Amino acid sequence: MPRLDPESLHTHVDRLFRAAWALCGRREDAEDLVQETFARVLSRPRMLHGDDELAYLMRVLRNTYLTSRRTAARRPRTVPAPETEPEDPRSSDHAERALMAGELLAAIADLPEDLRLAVAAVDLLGLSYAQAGRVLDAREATIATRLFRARAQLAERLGDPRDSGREASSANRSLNQ
Amino acid sequence: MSDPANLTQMPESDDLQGDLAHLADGTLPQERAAQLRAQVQADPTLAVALERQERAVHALRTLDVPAPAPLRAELRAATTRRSRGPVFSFAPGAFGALGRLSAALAVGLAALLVALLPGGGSPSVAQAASFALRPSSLPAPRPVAGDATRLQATIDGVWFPSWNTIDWRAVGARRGTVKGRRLLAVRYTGRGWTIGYAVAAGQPLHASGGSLVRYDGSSLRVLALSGGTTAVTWLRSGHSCVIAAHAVPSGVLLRLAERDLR
Repeated sequence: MPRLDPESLHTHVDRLFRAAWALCGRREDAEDLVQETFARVLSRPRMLHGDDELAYLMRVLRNTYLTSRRTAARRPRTVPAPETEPEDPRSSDHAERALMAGELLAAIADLPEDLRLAVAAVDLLGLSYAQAGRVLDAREATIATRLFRARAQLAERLGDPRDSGREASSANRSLNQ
Repeated sequence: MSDPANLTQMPESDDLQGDLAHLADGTLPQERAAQLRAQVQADPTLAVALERQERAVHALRTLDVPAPAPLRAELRAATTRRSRGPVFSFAPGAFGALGRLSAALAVGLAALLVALLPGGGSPSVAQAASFALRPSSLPAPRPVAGDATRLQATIDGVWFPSWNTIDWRAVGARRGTVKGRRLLAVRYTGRGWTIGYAVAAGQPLHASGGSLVRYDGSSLRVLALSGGTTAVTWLRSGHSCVIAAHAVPSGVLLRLAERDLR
């Protein structure tokens, strides 16, 4: 049975981070979720059990997310410290793109959980429908209908770029610079 | 934004919805795709539904939000450690010289990137205090064998104290980065209180405000933060240490901090 190669994990960090952000809805929580996912994966040697690496990571990401969400619900919230990040000096064009990316990630985070997980697995992480079905314990056809509904809601939420002159597809680039 | 009522125009059949999802991302078998495209051309409702699918697929699959450089460096260091020895062991020497070198290079590169990027720089003491109070994500470090005063938790060679002898116990830990700076925090409980103790890697954090308390030639700064949070910060081996807590008297925090200066 193939073993997960720890050295190869860093190649998946970007996609995992986007999927985590979509699940959590907040960048800070996404960073925590990715760190905790890797901590779990790296805590001992892992067998892939028929998954490829990415599907395996999505399975751990999802389980870590569900566990942390349950834990957070039982825990009093920590009051954030008062100091905030400095003003972002990025250009207006960059800020516009970041805003679009932020809108898209926020829109995903507002989806019902089963739709959100389907989008994270297939459209953000790049799993096939069949892989997503195995990871999310759902039939492949169910994943397809969840994706259809999720994408329809996202398209509604983001609006038609031809109406506003904005390219939804430019919901891009880094929010992290 | 489009009228949400348009969502009611979606095709009702699950099979048709699934096929449209596949068609939009190019995973529908060729023969069925041709059939469905002909169907879409003849049905405006399906055409709208497919256009939305394709628009969403394009937006999602061209989304380019990379992981922050510090997170990437942290994970790279963790995978390097994993391949060379025990994972998430805080003790120095847990991984080999090559691993340490790789981790140092990765973190150094990340620090450089962060410094060059907008918003880079050091976290504040308040941010370090906030980090110290975040929930633990790692198990509590144990005392060092043969040295009851230290825990198996270090960052940049700065160790965390074991306070078992005064009935304060480590109950969890957390590693992470704030504004590109690595931090390690240990959570302790004692006498009904919980505190977070964070040490920042690298240069001392900028600290100002609050009140200064002198102890044995050292300065401890006491800061009242929002939400009833109190923080005490001082330097140990050139590194900023921060103890923070909610609704715990500052004298309690000072006494704990002073123990580290003895």
